[in-house]
Amino acid sequence: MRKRCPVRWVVCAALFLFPAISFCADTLRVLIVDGQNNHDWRSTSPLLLELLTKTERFHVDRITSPVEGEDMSGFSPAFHAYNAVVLNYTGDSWSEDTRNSFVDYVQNGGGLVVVHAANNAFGDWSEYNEIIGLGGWGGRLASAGPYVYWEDDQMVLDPSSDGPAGSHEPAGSSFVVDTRCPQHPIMRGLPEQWKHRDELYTHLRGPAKDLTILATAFSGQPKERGGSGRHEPVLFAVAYGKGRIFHTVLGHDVEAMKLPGFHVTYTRGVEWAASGDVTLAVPEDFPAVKSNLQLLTEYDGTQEAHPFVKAIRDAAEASSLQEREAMEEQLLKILEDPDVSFLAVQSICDLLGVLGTERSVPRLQRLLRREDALSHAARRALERIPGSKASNALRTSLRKTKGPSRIGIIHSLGMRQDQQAIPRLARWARRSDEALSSASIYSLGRIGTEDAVERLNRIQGRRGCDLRVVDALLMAAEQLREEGKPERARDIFEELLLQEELLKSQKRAAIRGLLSVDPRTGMNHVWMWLKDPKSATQAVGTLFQMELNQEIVLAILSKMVDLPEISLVKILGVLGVSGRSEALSSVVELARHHSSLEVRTEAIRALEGIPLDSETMEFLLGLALDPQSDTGDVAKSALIKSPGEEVEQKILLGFQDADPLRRDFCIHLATQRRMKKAVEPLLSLAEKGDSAAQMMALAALRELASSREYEQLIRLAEICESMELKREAIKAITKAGRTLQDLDQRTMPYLRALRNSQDEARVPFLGGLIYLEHPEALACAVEMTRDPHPQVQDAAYRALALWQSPKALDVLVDLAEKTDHQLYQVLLMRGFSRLLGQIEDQTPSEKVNLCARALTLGLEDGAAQLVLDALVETGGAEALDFLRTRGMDLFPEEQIQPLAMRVLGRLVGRGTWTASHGQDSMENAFDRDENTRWTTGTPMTEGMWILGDFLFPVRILRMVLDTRRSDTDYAPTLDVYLSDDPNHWTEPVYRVEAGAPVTEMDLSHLDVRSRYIKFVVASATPHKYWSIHEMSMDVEYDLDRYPDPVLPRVFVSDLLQGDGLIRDWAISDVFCEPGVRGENLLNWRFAPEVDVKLGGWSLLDPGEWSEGFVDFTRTREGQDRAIYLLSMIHVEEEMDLSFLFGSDDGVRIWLNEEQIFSLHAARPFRRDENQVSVRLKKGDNLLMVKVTQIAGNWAFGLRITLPDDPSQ
Amino acid sequence: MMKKEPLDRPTRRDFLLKAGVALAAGPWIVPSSALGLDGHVAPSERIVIGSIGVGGQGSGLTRHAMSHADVQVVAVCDVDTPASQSMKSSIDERYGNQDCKIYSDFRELLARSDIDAVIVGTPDHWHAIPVIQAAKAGKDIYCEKPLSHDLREGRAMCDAVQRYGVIFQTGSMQRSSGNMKKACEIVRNGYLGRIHHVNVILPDGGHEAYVKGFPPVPDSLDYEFWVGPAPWAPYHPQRMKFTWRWWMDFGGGQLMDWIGHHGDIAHMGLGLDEKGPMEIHPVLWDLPARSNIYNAPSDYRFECVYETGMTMTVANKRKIGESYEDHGDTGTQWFGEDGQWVFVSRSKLLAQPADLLNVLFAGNDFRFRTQHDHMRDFLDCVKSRREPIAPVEAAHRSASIGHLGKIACILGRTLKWDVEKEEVIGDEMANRMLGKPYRGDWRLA
Repeated sequence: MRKRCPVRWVVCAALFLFPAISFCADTLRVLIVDGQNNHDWRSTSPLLLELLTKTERFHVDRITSPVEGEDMSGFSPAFHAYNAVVLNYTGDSWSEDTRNSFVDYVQNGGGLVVVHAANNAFGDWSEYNEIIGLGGWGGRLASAGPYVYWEDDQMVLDPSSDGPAGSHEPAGSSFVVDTRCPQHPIMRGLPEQWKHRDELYTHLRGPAKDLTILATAFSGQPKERGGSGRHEPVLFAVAYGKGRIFHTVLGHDVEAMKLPGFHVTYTRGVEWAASGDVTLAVPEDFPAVKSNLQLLTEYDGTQEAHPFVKAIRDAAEASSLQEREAMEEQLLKILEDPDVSFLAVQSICDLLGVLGTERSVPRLQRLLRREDALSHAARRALERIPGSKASNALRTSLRKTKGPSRIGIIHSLGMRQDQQAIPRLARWARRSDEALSSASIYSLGRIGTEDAVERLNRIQGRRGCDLRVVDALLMAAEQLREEGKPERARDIFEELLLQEELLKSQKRAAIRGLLSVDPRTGMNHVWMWLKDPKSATQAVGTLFQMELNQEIVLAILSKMVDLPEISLVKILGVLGVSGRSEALSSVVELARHHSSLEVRTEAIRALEGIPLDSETMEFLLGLALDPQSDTGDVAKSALIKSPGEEVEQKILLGFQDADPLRRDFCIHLATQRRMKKAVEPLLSLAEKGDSAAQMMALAALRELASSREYEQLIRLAEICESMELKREAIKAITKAGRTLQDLDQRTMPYLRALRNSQDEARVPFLGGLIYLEHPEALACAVEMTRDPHPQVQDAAYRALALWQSPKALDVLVDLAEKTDHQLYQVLLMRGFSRLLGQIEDQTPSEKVNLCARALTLGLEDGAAQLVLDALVETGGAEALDFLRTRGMDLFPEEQIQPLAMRVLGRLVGRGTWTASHGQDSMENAFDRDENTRWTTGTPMTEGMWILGDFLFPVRILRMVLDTRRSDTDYAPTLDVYLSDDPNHWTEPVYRVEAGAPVTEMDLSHLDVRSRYIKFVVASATPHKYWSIHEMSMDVEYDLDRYPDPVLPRVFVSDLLQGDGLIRDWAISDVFCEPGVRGENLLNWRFAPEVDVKLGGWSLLDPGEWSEGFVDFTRTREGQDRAIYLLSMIHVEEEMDLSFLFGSDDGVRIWLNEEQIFSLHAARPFRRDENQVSVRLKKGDNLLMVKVTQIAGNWAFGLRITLPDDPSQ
Repeated sequence: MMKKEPLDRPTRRDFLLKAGVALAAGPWIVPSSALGLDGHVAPSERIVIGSIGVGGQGSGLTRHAMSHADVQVVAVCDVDTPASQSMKSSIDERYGNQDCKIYSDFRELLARSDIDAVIVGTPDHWHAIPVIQAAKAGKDIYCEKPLSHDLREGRAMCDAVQRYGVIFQTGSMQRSSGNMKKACEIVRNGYLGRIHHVNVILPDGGHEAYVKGFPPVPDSLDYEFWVGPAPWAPYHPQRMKFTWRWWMDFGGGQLMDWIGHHGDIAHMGLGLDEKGPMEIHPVLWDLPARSNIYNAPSDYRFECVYETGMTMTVANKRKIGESYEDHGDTGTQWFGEDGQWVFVSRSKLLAQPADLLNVLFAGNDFRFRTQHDHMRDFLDCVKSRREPIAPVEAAHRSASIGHLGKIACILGRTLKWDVEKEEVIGDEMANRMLGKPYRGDWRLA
């Protein structure tokens, strides 16, 4: 226990020292209470006092309590002598008398001001809690009252949430305070929003009786930094009895108290608590948050760029008309200010364009007549303000402006479709001033009334064809059409087509217009083009982009036969696209009888888009089935593609056709069209038809049947007589069963059928058994290997060899042990090897154990080789261990050695790849996901390259680049370079000519070892990116050729004289394996764990040394990977030591090749977080560390101490 | 279990875009010599092209067009002299002559009667005027996405293109990508069942720059023309090439940049090329914290409801919400009713269940054309006069999603959209934000 000198409590009797200022009529008496506080009351109380006295409104005394833990019985302030009491106290409980006196004081009309931590006090004093309204800490829990905050414009009492009261954002944070009760005397004259910097309290609880929230602040910090995501009360008033309480949670320290946000509200709050009113003024420099309008006023293009958007939002949120009008007035007022920048004016005009009313018109009109940019700005508003006033303003300004300003106004009148402007525009349309007349003509077209059209026509009449007028008339005609005056539109289009001088596009526009209102007449014009083969494309182009209604199609049909062949072919394309059944008979007529093959073909093709009737179907069937027909293929395609119910009905009828050719073709069509409704008829055909029909039906059912037909198909398979039919049926069963989720439902009926079948009838069923994942199915297959019927036995073994589910692995090994039949052994091990490659949920060592078990059975050579291959494919370090140990016992060395090399190749991996182009990581080419790719991201050009670094000289046997998912993105010619120096390449050693998206290179003939391999595009496909979706390779490593890593050596004697930190490390390459993450990263044995040589070591760059640890983050990107560190520690004598270390994330440590520590973690680096005791042998000790990277930062640091070092 | 639910009866446009009928017939096929493979194309057979706006994207498009043997680029136009100069040298080098003409006013380029087609690669605020004027002049048009800078412009562009019957291809080149088409075909043909939700996952925004000074406009740039119809903003080099997008008066931020891709693909998969949302609910429109030359949102999100009751979330990736499991890319994701989905991005095509991707399409299923080269599709259509794969109306409707989302978010309230009349129902303020008057004497035609 610390002992403190008792400090006697005293009244700082300013009263007695300065009697002159006491007891003025309007001086309010205030008492500040302090003495205990977890905040620095010794410096804040004097300031609280000074702030009050400075106003000359108060006479202030201060009373200080005994220190914490001292006797409080004598502490008894004379509350009743004061108008207000300021609490800057949180600490020991007061005596009962003092408490009663305090409550009595407030109850009877005393004023109270609670400052910041004072609301932490007296958590268990219920009257106090009611008086202060809300509090924090002090043991306050849910029972203290609800959490209180502000939401949707009102105070929310939230009793539902559990949790303690009180937390806070970091001290000194800036935040914005929102005034919530502007009419309250304390808040009167304060801005709506103001800035403050302080410690913001959150999560306060309390009874909140008679509590008025005066101001809130939004707590935006994350929860771990004390934030709440709510608007928290910061100033509030409480009524208790007759007493007035002002509670401010602001004022954490002197800095915060000196800010106006605190001292202004504090002094005003004291005055209100003491007197019920506030006379103290709000200073002008009070830190108000500027309104968006204010910001907009000041905007000149160099400040924050958002006031405009925010001001629109303000206007949108204005709920009443009055508010919007007030905003408009404000905007107009800003416009009056001569100092406002042009950019602000422009923005304000834009705002007025969105929200302005006629009230803005006069002011905008004045701006409009300015002959400068302001005129255009004003127009941005006026053009959009509804009502005749704005139109008048624009119109009357026409004569008072000139140049671009006037042109702009003309355009705006056009956009507003101002009819009153027509006469003037019509006059100006004839002026020789090009800009003036063009704008006027355009606006007349835009206005587009009959009157405007009339005027435009007159211009046309007078001066011959004016192309500008044509465009305006086209625009007007469309408008008249939309307004329900198609005849007027028609007249315009027709008159235009009489003009000779039209541009081709204008003529096209007029024809399209005419087609839309009067197809027959319109088509007459199209015919003129169609009649000439040269312009036929133009003609049908006109039609292609139109909505082809019935009338247009009929118009086309009426004259079609007279067309030249080329035109006919083209118009048939149009009819096909139209999809309209009106065209059917004429198209069929051409398809049947036209003399030209091309026309007939195109007619049939057009039928793909037209719903067919039964007669046409018959015709097409005839063509498709006639081997002599030269349009058979198109007919077939039309039958597959053409829409319509009737076609499908006809196809179904065809199933019953006596002619097997027709019947089969209809079944084919049903399959191609994927007709679900063909399933039922097919099932009955498969049951009752002749055997050819049965076969055909079953084949179709394989495509069309779903799980619903599963059991029905099984019954079918049972009753089929021939083996072939059974096989076909079982194919359909397998396909249909694939989507059955319930395993029992899939398996049991099938097994029943299998077991019910006799003798060799079981054989086809065994073929389908392999797709059932049920254990019963497996048991059944095993059972059948003992069937007396040799054919069944044989089929059972073959089924097991093809088994689909990895659950069979053990069974396969068991069976292999039991049978002496060499062929069956091989079959079983083939299955074993395949399944082993498929399983994902077993670790490499479990897989190796399975292989080891199989290999010890004494399998014959072929079967054993299959298992060895499977072993290699497991690819882990465990496979290598097995081969080097027991493998050597079981098999001759020359058989094992190449296998070990292959495993090693996979372990060391695919090297590190970089590319000359592309932002995507090359990782995408190695992730075994063919949907992701590496790509250059730009069309390939000669010289683009990819480069692999294998760390050591290797021999590359085979490479595969797979680009099938972007099937044109392969480089047609690649040159292969090999080198041990990435800056020096000689001649290409090989050139690959790729003709397909998969480029496979056999490089085994190159008996060269090199560390680097580079592929360079030697010829490129233009406009195509170069991409690789997947890439794989076989690489041969020869460990003996690799040099030992260069190791830094550290001396313990040196380390112990300093801080013990090992700063010298060899650092490995980064290792990763697709799919290996989390804890598995720590367990996965990457190359250095197989042989320390294989780390790709380099000495640690001092730049990677960060105070006390190695920081991998900056230099090595990515996650889900591992890295290794290596150091040689030298001691003179055998010695016991401690390793103290920390890691981000997981870590595993080996000393002299023995694992001494392992921890999976996803954690930040902390110094000395872990410790292990070690014994170092005399001389050199090899220390290897593996650090995994889950995500985020990546680091490791280790120091050595003597075991009894006190600094631990 | 895959459930196939066909959409409504295909529309006329479906037939136009469909593989089968549309381009199979002999006479429509462009001769192989015109495919830019080996053959020589007689000058009279070539499509003569002028390029308007040859900065970043415009120059790439022009180079791509030029690589086709049946194209002759004869003119470039830009208000930035170095850009047009450098484009001219590439073009002249390609053709081995000095014939390419440089213009600084696109109207002079459009006045040339020998030009068949134009490429418009200008910033967003400069799409509508050149496109409408090119249509008037009867030029076929390849124009970058997003189609328009506001909704009214988009409508006017559609009207002009349709009025004059010119061929129009939008630069939404994802429509020509094999993966995108396959995803759309799976959705269109009902293999995902009825679609109840779509995620349109766009890139994150957050471009911030607080510049101190505004340097003078370089002599080689006509900045007055560059700003053109848009509200004035002082010149800053960091608000020009590639970065004009982050100033909402010139571009539309990541939202408008990408809505014309992933939003467009969403519509393409749903067969909604001529439709749009009925309701747009704002969720998020966060402005960059500290920036005086950019004002595009850093985070944005809004929700749309379509006629069928289907909902669509449009948001930047980090704000897309919980229905999106991060597949690493931005893209489009359609959800069927039973939780199955298809996701497509530029590098990925994923589905749940994965089996959906192995679907065997029926002979009469809706299939898109197989042309992978978006520019080639345009050139073919210029010859055949058929509708290209990214037609103007489709582009307008997909851009509309973004325009409406922006207005809803800025106003902070739900918009009800009349898809036919293209008006916001009962919201005058919103309707007044659909279009904007142009600066100076520019007009929407």
